[in-house]
Amino acid sequence: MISRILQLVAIILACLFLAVIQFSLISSLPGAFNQINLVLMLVIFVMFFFGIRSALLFIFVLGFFLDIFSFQFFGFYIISLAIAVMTSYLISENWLTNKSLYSLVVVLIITLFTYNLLAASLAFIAVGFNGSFGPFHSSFWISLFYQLAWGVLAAILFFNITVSLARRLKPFFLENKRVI
Amino acid sequence: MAFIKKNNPLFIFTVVLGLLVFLHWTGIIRPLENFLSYLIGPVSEKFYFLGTQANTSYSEKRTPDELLAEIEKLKLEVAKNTITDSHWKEVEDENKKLRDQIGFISSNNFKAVLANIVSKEESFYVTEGSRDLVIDKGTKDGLRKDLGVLSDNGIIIGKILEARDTSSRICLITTPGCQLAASLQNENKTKGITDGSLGLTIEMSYIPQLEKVSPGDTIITSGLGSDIPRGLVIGKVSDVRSESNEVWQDATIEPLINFNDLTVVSVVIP
Repeated sequence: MISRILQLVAIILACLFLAVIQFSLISSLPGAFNQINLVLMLVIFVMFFFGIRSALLFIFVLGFFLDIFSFQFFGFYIISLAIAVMTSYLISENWLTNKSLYSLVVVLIITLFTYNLLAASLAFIAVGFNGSFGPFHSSFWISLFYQLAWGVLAAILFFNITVSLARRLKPFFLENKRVI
Repeated sequence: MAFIKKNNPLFIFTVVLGLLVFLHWTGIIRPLENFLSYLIGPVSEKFYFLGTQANTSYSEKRTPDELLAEIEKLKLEVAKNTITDSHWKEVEDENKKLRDQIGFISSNNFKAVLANIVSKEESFYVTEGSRDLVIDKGTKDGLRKDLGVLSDNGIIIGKILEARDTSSRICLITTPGCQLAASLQNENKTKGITDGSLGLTIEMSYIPQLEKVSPGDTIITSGLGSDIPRGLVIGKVSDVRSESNEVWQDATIEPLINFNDLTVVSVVIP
C-alpha cells in the first residue's frame, strides 16, 4: 500500500516537472524546438508500453497541471489528451497486431494528428467561432510536421533503448531466419 | 451499459474529470490552483530564462562578413547618435527646469508592477501569428484587463488580455487583434489605432488623408484608452500607404525591440 502511494507521489511530481518544462522551457525555445510536445510523447509511450489505465492516470495528472497553468478553459488539455489517446488506443487494439516500432510510429502519428485537430477545434469553439480554424492555416500543418518529426525521432530512440533493456518488444526489423 | 461498470477506467476517468471541472468552476480548488501556480513560479521563471537565452543565441547567429558589415553600420550609427544625444540632453535639461518651475508632476507619474514572463501561451491558430505571454502577477497584485505592459527600457510591448489571481496573459502589439490608441509624434499629434499584423509588425490605421506621415516618425500611445497613459513609445513608421481616393491612410510600424529577448516586464497602473 505504501509503495503504491509512493509510486503515485513520484508520478505526480514527475508530471509536475514535465508540465513546467513544457509550459515554460519548450514554449520559449527558438524555431522548430518549441514544437516538441513532450507531454503527448510521454502519454503515448505510457499507453503503448503500460496500457490505457496508466495512460489515463498520466493524462489526468499532466492535463490537470497544464489546465492550471494555461489560460485555455479548464479541462482543455485533459479532454484533448484523453480523446486523442483513446482514439489511438482503439486503433491500436483493433488494427495493430504487435508492439513494434512501426506500430509505435503509427500510434504516434494518429495521436498527434487527433490531438492537434481537437485542440484547434476546442480553441475555436472556446472563442465563439470568432477567430480562425487551425487546419485552414499553413502554420497548423507546419507545426504538426515538426511535432511528428520530433515524435518519430523520440520513438526511434526510446524504442531502441527499451528493446535493449527489455524483452517484451519486437526488434526493429523482422529477423531473417534461414529455414534450410 | 459496459461503460458504467465500476472498474471501467474510462468511466472512472470521466467521473473524476466531471468532478474536477465542477470543483474548478465553483472555486473550491482555487486555493490549490493558486498554491501550485505560486510554487512553480520561480522554477518557470528560470526555465523561461533558459529558453530565452537559447532563443537569443539562435537568432544572433551571424557569419563573419555579416558581423563586419554590422560593425561598420553601428559605427556610423554611434557617430550619428552622439550628435543627437547631445541635443536631447540639452532638451532634457530644459524640460526638467521647466517642469520644476511650474511644479509639474513628472509625466511618468504612474505605478508600475514588475513581473517575470513564465511562458508563451499558444492560441492554437485561432489568431494567426499569435503567441501571448504569461506573467507571474495577477489580480492580487492589482493588475486587470487592458493595462499596458512595458519592456525594461520603457517601450510598450502589449496589454493584459486576461488576469487571474496570480498570473496574467498579455497580447503582444504585433498580434492581430491587440489594438492600442496611438498618436504620431508630429505637430498635429495625429491619432489612429494600431493593430498587430501576423505577429511581426504593427499596422496603424484611421490616419486622416491630409496628415503628413513619413517613414521614421515615432508612434506613441495617445492616452485615449483610459488604462494606458499617453507617451509610451510603440515603434517607428517604416512604410506609409496613401491612396488619393481614400479617406484614411495606413502606416506600417516596426517594433523597436525583439520580443523573444524579454524576460522581465512592467505593468503600468495609471
